[in-house]
Amino acid sequence: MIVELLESNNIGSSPVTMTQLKAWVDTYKIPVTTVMDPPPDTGLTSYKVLGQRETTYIVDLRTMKIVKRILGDVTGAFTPGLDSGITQIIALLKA
Amino acid sequence: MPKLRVAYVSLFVLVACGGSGDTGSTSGDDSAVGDDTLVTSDTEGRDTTSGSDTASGTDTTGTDTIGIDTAKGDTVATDAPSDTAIGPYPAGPYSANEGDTITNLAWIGYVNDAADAVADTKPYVDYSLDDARRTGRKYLLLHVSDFA
Repeated sequence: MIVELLESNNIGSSPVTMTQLKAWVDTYKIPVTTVMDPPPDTGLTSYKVLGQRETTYIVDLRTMKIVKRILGDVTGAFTPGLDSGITQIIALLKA
Repeated sequence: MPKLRVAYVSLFVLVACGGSGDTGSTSGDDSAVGDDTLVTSDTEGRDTTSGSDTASGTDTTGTDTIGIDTAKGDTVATDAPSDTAIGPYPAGPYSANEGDTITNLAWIGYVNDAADAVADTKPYVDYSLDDARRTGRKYLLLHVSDFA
């Protein structure tokens, strides 16, 4: 399963709003669960825990251990780490 | 931007092909692989749900049917354990490094674990890593983005 997390606005500058979350979904037509830190959380909790985008985690849901942490491209000019994450989770599911 | 869009198209294909947590198939072969196969369609868009052992072409409940032939009167089994069977969230210490346990982050947003539509057509509700864990699926791909 896949979860898209919109963790901050402008790389840790401020929390995401519901309007921004909806715009994110609409822009990319995201077909999976898409979430943000819940208001009134202004502490950027997810950003502080998980680090700066663009990062992809693969988590074993039976143990909640991180199987892979893939650091992607922060410029947006190159292939996102999400691509590598998809390849790797498919391999895990087939193993 | 275009590359991210391509990634999400790939992501949609992954989910449609069983990436909802269990064994996916991109070959159009209905044979069960592992214990949780749920095939909806392959990457060429062919319907592969008509094989002998695929119980359902959709998974909208968060539970996957396995090895069931309803035409023969089999009852439907699921691979999603009950809450009591899953147990509590693993204890810490927590970190965001490979091999470590991830903390149970709490979020809010559009929850679409079935991945069957654009997310904002779904309920805007609380969600957490523990909720993902309780789906009973095997792996989570968590993609961290930033609004800019």
